[in-house]
Amino acid sequence: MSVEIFHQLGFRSQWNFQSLNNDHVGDSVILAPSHMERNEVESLSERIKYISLFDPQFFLPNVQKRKLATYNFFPDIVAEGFQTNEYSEGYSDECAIQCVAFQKSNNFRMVIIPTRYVSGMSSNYIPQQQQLFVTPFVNAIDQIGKDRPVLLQLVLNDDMIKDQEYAADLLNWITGITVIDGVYLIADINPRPKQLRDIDFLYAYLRFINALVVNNLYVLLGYLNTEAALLTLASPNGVTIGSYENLRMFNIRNFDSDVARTIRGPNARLYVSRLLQWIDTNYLGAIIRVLGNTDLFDDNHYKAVMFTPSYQWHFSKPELYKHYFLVFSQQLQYITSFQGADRYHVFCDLTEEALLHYAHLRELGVILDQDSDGSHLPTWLTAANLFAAEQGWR
Amino acid sequence: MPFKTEQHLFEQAVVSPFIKNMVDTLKYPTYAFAEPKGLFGIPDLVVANVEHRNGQATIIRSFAFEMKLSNWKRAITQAYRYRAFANLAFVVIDRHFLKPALDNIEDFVKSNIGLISIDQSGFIHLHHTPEFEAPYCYELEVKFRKMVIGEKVGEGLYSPKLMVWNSTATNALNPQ
Repeated sequence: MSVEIFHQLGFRSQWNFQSLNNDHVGDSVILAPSHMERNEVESLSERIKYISLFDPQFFLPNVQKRKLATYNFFPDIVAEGFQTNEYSEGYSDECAIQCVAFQKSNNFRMVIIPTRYVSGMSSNYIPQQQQLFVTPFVNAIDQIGKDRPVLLQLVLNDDMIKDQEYAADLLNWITGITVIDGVYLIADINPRPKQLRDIDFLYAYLRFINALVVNNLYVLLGYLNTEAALLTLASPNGVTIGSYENLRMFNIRNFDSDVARTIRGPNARLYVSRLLQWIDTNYLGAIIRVLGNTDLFDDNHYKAVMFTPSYQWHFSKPELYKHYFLVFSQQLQYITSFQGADRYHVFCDLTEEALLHYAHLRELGVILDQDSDGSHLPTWLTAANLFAAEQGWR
Repeated sequence: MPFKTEQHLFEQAVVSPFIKNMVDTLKYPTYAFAEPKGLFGIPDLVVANVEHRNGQATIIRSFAFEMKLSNWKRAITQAYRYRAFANLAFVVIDRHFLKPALDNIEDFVKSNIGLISIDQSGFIHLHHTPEFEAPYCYELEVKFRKMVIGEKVGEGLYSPKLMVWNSTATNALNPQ
């Protein structure tokens, strides 16, 4: 079965909607209340709502971001009535009822049970999540009536996933929650490189996803960058594509209060599917100079716009991301048109082919920095090989 | 004895007559800029020979230098970035740690990056001379041009941070 592609919405979500509507990229969107006020969400077309998920984004329940404040079920808003600063049992029931009712009344495709962000490896993680989210939301769903699938959202950090015992406890807990039909899983990686390179994490994450899948849970992976290509080996049901880097890598700071932060704009990057990498556009001239009229760059109507001489590359240009949505979704569809061992071999072929392209560029004298080169690919291959060996695919 | 700090190596390199003679030209004024920001990476030093004619200023030749104590791989990666806007890019490395770079001189040749070694006494050796080449990124070339000769070319509005090289070489360290 091929994977469903979800647009991870945030800033500039109109690009995602345009990609979905005009280029037919993706199957669904994950609405982000931190970037969309309630009336904006409610005024979406019935068609869009019907295919969408609504992520309540309770990650920091006691922090009020301006747009989240337009939702009367956001914990910090409900808390006003309870005169307390701490998200607690006191009003978690109230939040749950209103949040479930909102998701149902807007006819979203599934109901998401939200989560709060927890750093480190808290020994209290499972009881706390159970008490503050799972129990109140399950009660609310029972009360209102379950008429659509329910996903449990979890933000798990790399240490939680890499620790076998901790991960096993999480799996036991998740698979024991009978009311849920699946998991909306978000990995919180520290530190955050442009591309994931931690073999232990990647291998452990593949195993974790696979364990959920074999337990017949629907698994949706959020905030993914191009490692989605690797993670499809574990057969998740849904993966996300996002525009800016903060939608391709979860960072809790983005959900902190609206205090102005100095954010330096990154260099513009172009996704090149044959390299499985976002290439700093400053290098494009060097690559074109050595390769000449090359088919290395994916061809579509966005490329036609971007490769005109007058085009001003900038990270805030929509073409970069709409091009990525189109190209990467096609790549994902290709990989996931295969299953099991075949999918693994296709992934290996694509990765090895990308490494050959990098070697060729190097031979021609093009030296790409670590954020544009293929140094992440051997780590992906290693994680894939470890997982494949365990699955009996090699 | 190896250099203790990169700053020390930098100071030794900028005052050396070798580099001065290499970047200078008798015909055109030479401008130097230490650690300019906003390009592609932050080179330790950029130098440009500028022709002034008929009220117009034109960059005739530009250099970018990456100075490193030992890590030639990192240095060549950075120097390659500078080729995006400069005609010639060089790695300047402590002679004490030269061997690994020399063992991989082929990489410098392929990427058209110059390799210079320097020791504490100021002795400099040029191991690979790059060929003059147009920068590979037009946008950055334009940005560099604006940085060096100002947006209003021909009106004498040079970037205030630039120094004419031949006043004293160390001005590059303390741009005004």
